This record gives sequence, C-alpha cells and structure tokens, in this order.
Amino acid sequence: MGFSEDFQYQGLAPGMGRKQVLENCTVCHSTAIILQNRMSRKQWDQTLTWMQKKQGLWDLEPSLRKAILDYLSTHQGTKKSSPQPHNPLGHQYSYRPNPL
Amino acid sequence: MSNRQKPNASRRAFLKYGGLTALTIAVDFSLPLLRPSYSGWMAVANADPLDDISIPGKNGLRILNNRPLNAETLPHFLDDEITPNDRHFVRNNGLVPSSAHEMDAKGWTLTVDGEVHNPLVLTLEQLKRFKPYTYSLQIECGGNGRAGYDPPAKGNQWTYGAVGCATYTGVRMGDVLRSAGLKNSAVYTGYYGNDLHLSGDPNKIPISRGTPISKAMDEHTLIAWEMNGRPLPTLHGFPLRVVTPGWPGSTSIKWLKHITVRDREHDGPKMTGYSYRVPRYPVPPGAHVPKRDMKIIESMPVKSLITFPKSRLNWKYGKPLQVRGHAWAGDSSVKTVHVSIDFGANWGETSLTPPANPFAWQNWSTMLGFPKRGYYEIWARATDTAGVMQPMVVPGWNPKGYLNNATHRVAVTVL
Repeated sequence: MGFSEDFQYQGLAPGMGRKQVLENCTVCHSTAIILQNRMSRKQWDQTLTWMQKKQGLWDLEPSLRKAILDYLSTHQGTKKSSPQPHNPLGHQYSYRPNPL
Repeated sequence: MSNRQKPNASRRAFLKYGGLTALTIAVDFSLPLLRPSYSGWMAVANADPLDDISIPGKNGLRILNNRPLNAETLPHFLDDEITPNDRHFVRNNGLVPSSAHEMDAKGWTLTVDGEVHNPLVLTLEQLKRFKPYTYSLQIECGGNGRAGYDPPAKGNQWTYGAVGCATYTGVRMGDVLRSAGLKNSAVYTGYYGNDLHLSGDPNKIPISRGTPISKAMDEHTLIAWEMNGRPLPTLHGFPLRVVTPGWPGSTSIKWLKHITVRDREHDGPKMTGYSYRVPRYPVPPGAHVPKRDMKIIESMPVKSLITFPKSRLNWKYGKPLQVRGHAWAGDSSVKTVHVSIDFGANWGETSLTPPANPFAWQNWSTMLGFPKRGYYEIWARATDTAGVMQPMVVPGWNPKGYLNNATHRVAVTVL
C-alpha cells in the first residue's frame, strides 16, 4: 500500500464499504480499535447497536448499515482468510501457546 | 516486536500541522476545535498512525489505539522495581481533558456527596490537609492479556504490559469519606473524572466506576496527586486520581472531580452489562452468556512477569543467567515464584522479596544454568498466599477477555 493511501485510509484494507466505515466510525474513534478486532457479522452488528445506544453513534440507513457490516465482516471477520488483527499477540517464543 | 519508539523522522515531519505538533494531535483529540473528521487534514494526521507515533512523556510503550489513547509497556521495559512514569501503561476510555494537557489545576474542586451526612466540596489545598501517605501500588488493566483469548474478545488487544507499580502520594479515600460522614445506607462508591466522551457530547460520560465501600475504606486506597514524587502526569490523571490497588485499573478513576456514595452497586458507564465483568460460572470458548449471569470483577488474580531477559536472547553455553521479574496477586500477596526451563516438567523456586507495602508488586530473581546447548523457554509461575497458582494455559474464556493470568514465557537460545 502506498504512502499516501496509508494516510488516506488509516490502515483499512481496500474494499467495498471502506469509505462508509471511515465516514461513520472514525468520527469518534480511530481505525486502530477496528483493526485490532475480528468478529462475526452478528457481533459487529451488535457492536454498532451498542454504539448507537450508549456511545452516541447516529442512525444508519439500512443500506449504509449493510455496507459497513459487509466491509467489517469481510475484512475484520472471523474467517481464516481474514487479515490478522492489527496487533496480534506478540508471543516471543517458538512453541505456540496451547497448540492442542 | 515493534519499533515504535523510533519514529521515522521524515514522516513525523510530514505530520506537523499548524502550531501544534502532530504527535500531540495524533495521540489524542481533546480540543473541540479540532474535532476529527474523515475529510481534510485529520485524515492525514490520523493515517496509519500507530507505527509513527510517539507519546510525549513515554518511552518503550506499544500503542494499541491513538483515539482514545491506549498503550502498554513491553515486558523488558518493566524491569524497574518501581515503574517510572515514562514506562507506565496508559488506558483511556475518553479524551484527556484540556486541564490535564495544560497541567492547570486552578479552581479544581473535589465533590463528595450521595449517602453522606456532610457533603463536601474540597479545593486541592483543603484535600491536602488530610494526612498524606505514600505507597507503592500496582495497577493492572482488567483486560491485560486479552490478546491470548480465542475466539478473540472485543476490545484493545493487550498482551502483557498493561500493568505497573508506581509510588503514589495522596490521602486515604477512607479518611475523606469518614470526614463526609458515611450513612448506614452507604454501599458503593461512584467516581467521576473530567475526561471527555469520544463523541464530543459534553453530556456523555466516558467511564464512571467505583467499588464496594469496604474496598474504598482500605487504607491503601488513595486519592493521589503525585506519582513517583512528581505531580500526576497528564495521562495519569492530573491533578487527582483514585488508586484502587489490586483491582481492575478502571476503578482507579483519573482526573477525579466527584465521588458519589451510592446506596446500591454503582451503575455508571462501564459498570454494567459485560464491562469489567466475567461469567459467574465457567463457560466454553465463544459462549453467549446472558447479562444476568455476569458478575463484577473485584480483586485481580495472581500473576507474574519476566522482565529480564528480553525474549529471543542468545546466551553463551556454560554462563549462568540471572532471570528476574515481578509478581503480584490483587488483594493478596505472592508466596512463591517458580521457574521452569523444561516446559513445566521441573520447577525451581526463586528468591522473592516481600512487598514494599501491601499491594506493591514483589520482585523475584534466580540464577539459571542450561544443561545443553539448544532452545529453551523460561516459564515463571507465581503462587499466592492462599496457594492459588497461575495457570500455564490461558484460563477461562470470557466474553470480554478479562483476567488472563497465564504464565509468561520467554525464549532463550543457548549457543
């Protein structure tokens, strides 16, 4: 990813809905907390609802909500193909914790 | 690990904006004038930010989030017996108030009300007339170790370093509450700071937590104004904070303005629902737990850290290695710390200092020899005075990923 793109998109991977995530989510918090978390679509949906109830997130039109959830569940989802969290557990040894 | 303490000079220069350095802008965002927005310069100042930010007054911290600011200390930077101000982790829920940025305590008052006979409004000068005490007190974030849970738990992905033990000077919470005259109906405290909600809505409170009266009355629970002999730093609550040692750091409210004594469990923001709560019973990983089955975390569990050596050490065969670190146990203290270099098959006891005072972490050390050349892991395991040990695997999964006190491991290759 190029230098200027890095700045413009605050580390979010390219994809449909990235613009909507930036416009609606980074008003209050930075992308760092998004990039650190991987959740299912349902969990992201519950998180949006929690932010609306408790944290001052505004109403989202259904199509806008869908675009945001599409992006988050694709790029910050729980599937193996998802990118790793922004700050993966930095275990500094060769045997992974609890491999079985 | 990261290299965040050495930002690239040219990118840093690029981040400069107007009369303010981008460093200040990018790590926090309290000035209403500079409300963040997607378009324009904010997108620039805030872009892929974490690698290139350094926090004024901090050294060796790994930044997890820049708005709100959250940063932990790498384990080998926690080697000091008393954590210096520049090495202490930061966990913010909202934005740092401008009074703290400016270190301006003019007109600051602390209100004590609720279930008391004589509500108080104290100036800093009046507060300091209570007898001062100085203690070394460990504070650990309830979510320290969250990154170890699978499936991942929502929130900042703390690894090891959301813990520190600094020396605080202040007055006993108990002395202040007694002076206000607790009513028989007093059950719980509720603490309020003047940090700002992330949304910028002045009517919203980012966090307000408290403890049962018994913990507030503990003689080591302080209303502090000094950290390691200096006025509380901007990021640690200038000019006043609560220190509730041994309990989740979120009960040590910063930028303290108001103590309200409740006749029931406090229900401020981040007291209810899933915040700082764990299931009342063990659950399988990823389980849905109803809110009514969640209980508030009180004392943190027994835990230890290896602060020397740094992991991935190469060591010369035949040369003894001194290994050291800290151990703590919430409201309790640590009886023994053992280390293993063979994946837990054999354990040797280390020498362990008593705490400087209750709720101070304890320091342990030992000399190790390695029988052959090869790859080793040093594991450290603390046992508290009740005989409860740290688990060697990640303990009970919980929805928000609290209380991971698994043993810390570092790798050593003997050549």
